[in-house]
Amino acid sequence: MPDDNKWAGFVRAHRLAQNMNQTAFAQLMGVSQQTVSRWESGSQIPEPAMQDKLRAQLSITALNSVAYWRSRVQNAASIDVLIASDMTVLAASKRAEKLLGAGDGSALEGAKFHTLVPDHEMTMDGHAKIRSIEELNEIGFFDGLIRSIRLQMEWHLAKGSCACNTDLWPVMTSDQVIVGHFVGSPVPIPADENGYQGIRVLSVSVRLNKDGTDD
Amino acid sequence: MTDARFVNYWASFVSSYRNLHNLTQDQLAERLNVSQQTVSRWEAGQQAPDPRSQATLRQVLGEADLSSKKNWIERVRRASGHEVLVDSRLYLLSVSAAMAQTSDKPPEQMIGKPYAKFLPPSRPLLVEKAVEDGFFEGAFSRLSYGAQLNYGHVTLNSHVDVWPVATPDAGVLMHVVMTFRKGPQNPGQNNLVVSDFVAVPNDFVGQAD
Repeated sequence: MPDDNKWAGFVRAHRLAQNMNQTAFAQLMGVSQQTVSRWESGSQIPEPAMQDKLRAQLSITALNSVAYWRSRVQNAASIDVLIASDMTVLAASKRAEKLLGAGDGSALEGAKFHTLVPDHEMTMDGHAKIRSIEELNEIGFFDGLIRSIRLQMEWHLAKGSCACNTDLWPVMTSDQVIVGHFVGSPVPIPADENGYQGIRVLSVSVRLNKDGTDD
Repeated sequence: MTDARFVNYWASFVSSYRNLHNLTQDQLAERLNVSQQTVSRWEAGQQAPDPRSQATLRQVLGEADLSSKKNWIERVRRASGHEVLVDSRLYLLSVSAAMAQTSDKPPEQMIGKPYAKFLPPSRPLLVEKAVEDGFFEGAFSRLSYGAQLNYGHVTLNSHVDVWPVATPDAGVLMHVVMTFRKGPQNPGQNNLVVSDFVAVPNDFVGQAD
């Protein structure tokens, strides 16, 4: 937590990170715009009760940031990947690195997610169709129009085979962008009888955001 | 809960939806019975919609509120892994199918009940301690631990990640994700043995750049 004399930069940096003007931030904190201005100029230190309120506010907002979600995915024990709307991998868990990585020690971060998952046609709502996960953007995944995508996959790798249901969830962040959170839970299965090695997508199901919750 | 801190959520939500449906600010404003200037301020992130407009927006935009409590309940319910969602009283809000199967109870018999009811007795109460220390106030970015669940007839060995999830309508919720692994069996024991407990402070405050 910041020292008293650090509150100026602390408040300003967070207000700007939230893309708020002083008036909006003042409203949020229940103070006047002038007070926020004085905090930021360093001419006034927030009183202790307000410091607590600021910390709580900023801690909770931080939990929705892209930075937080990157750290969550990197530290997850499951198979997790976080992707941006241009399909760039923003973060990957250790297990995801192991299963999806090139095996040469290079990190998944920065790779294009769609190159890691084989193409498979997805049909939504009876008409809209995309051929590859690369086209997620076109179906409005990153605009909040998709509630979830379930991919049934089989991974046949040198070290073993597993069936893996994976979910791709849109996550709304406080940085004004939606990112994709890919989570897999593998179950060991026998190796492919024809010796196939690689990743197979068996099915993809897409739920639109307007579907409601009962189906 | 004030919704004002989600001003940016609404900003991107309103503008992306409006663009996707080729609506002008005027047209959306008319549907919501507000002025075009108001829509403009929402999209600029200068103002969050008031609760009445939010309710209408949710209806108009099809319950598309991706970070709401309702959406998290659904996300956990539909998750393919072993997951539960818990409120600040440590009562179950949602249980994934895999988790319900492991607990040998239908989800509807678990939801609304204390999470501890479905776990073997545990000492010390490390998660409870983290709750006292402000888990639901955003004090931690992660709890994780190894859990050996001795149910008498069977032992389950797992790694548990506990994530805080910030929702605009219900504050912070607790998202528990378990991954199971092979381990020793302790027939006859009925307890929960926690190992390697880590509570990581939320140091994202202060990383504003």
